[in-house]
Amino acid sequence: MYRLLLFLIMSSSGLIFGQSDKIQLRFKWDDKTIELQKQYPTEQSENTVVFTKIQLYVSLRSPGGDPGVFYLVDLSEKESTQLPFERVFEKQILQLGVDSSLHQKGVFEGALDPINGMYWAWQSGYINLKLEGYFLDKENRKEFAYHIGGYKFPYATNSVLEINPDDQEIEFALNAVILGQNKTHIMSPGKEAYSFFQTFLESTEIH
Amino acid sequence: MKVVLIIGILLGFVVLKSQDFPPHFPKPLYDFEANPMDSATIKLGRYLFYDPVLSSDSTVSCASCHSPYNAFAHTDHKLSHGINDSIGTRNAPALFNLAWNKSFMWDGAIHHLDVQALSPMTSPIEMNENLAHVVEKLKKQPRYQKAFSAAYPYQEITGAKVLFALSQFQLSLVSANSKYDEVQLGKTTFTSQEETGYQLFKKHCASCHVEPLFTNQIFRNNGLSMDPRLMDSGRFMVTKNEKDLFAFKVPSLRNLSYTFPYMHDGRFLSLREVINHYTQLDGEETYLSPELKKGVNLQENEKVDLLAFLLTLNDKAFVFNKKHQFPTFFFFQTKE
Repeated sequence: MYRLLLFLIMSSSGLIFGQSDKIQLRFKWDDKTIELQKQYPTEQSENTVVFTKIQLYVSLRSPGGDPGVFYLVDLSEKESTQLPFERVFEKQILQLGVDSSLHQKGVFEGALDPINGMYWAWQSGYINLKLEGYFLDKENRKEFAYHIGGYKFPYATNSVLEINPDDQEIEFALNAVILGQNKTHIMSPGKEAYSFFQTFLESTEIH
Repeated sequence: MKVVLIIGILLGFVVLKSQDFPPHFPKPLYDFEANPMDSATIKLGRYLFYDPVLSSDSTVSCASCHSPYNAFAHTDHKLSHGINDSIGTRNAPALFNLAWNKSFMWDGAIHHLDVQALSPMTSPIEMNENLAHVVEKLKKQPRYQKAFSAAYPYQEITGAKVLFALSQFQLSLVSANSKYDEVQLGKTTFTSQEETGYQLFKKHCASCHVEPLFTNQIFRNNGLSMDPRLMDSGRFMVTKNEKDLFAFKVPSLRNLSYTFPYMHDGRFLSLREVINHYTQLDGEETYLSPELKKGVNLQENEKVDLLAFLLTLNDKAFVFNKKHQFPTFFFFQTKE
């Protein structure tokens, strides 16, 4: 009876079958977690940056497993920054962006429905990452908009990261990504979008 | 098969399968498993195709540029026009046999039929709308609530379903009942003039206009000079590859009597002009496709024979099929 009770307690706490939990995605500017419409200082002392839109397609799956469900992480909907995460005893794969094989299959429901505004109409393909906002310098406002997509080799903008079961957060340091750009707008697939995406990947920290 | 048909009729619908397509056609490229055809969804797609609700001011529908009486091409203008009489840079292509398409649009910018409708829907010079707003409008209309419910029982109206339904209607537009098709199926024979024209076609045209779809669907520069007012560099705009400069998708030659004007910018009003264009090429035009470099030499009587053959590719039954036409009953229902 004691053993049965212990078993029930351990299984409900996830110690036997693994915990169903969440992993937090954060977009950071320096050491601060970004919130939309808030100002953050840049390296130029009188400049600040404001983000008006941050959206990213991600999915989670076990290594070698079938493609997981895609989620649209949208900073305007805070719950979407927490992904369901099974803390089982193996690594999981976090995929950033929609891969080529999925692109070839057309349209999907749910997060991948083009109704969400993350699909290019003029040249087929998902927009994997949207970063929009502006720099503010006293009274001057300089807009930026990075719509990063593309699924064709060699400029495919999707990648995978390994997540350990005890990882709690995935952070993207956007100051390193944005401040390094010499263009304020990237709105189509190709070399520049690919380069931007690589910088975005390099900004990722998992812990 | 009989059991499936009987059950289907009893349930009030008929399921179309890819095996229903013409026997002399290759296997379709469209993945029907991802979007299985059924009559309720085809009907829904037909309603949407003819409904200007897809445009921001409810004046432009798909059928505004893709007329059923013209094999779903646009014939009253060289360049298709959209919302607020905005003029585009190309003539809308005919719509038929889309299940066999590898890509869509004159420059192949769209890689899947299910996403093609997004392009005209969101273009500021065509329908100037967005999918989210279209869905919002549709949800408010009882006749669409009913039509979506028939196609997708107990499911919410979504953007994806709008696109799936439009695809299904367009996939139902199969043109394979021309005289040429009947000859291929052994049901009739060409006249001697048509047969002569057929041989000329095979010698001069078939390297790009491959039977039975009459297109190889690749992008070719056929020697047309660029219209400086339009600055349309064709496939190059997608690939940025210099070899694709002024290359456009090889169109099908089916239903030519119904789909004038011809070429991506509608510059030729008659087939005679088209044939003369090819016979007047000197093979030295910049970026000219390799198939045309040796020239197309046709005597005047041969041009007539070639035309006679091309007319055998017209499919009158397709063009006048009432199942493809404006669904009057849907749009003129009694009060809702």
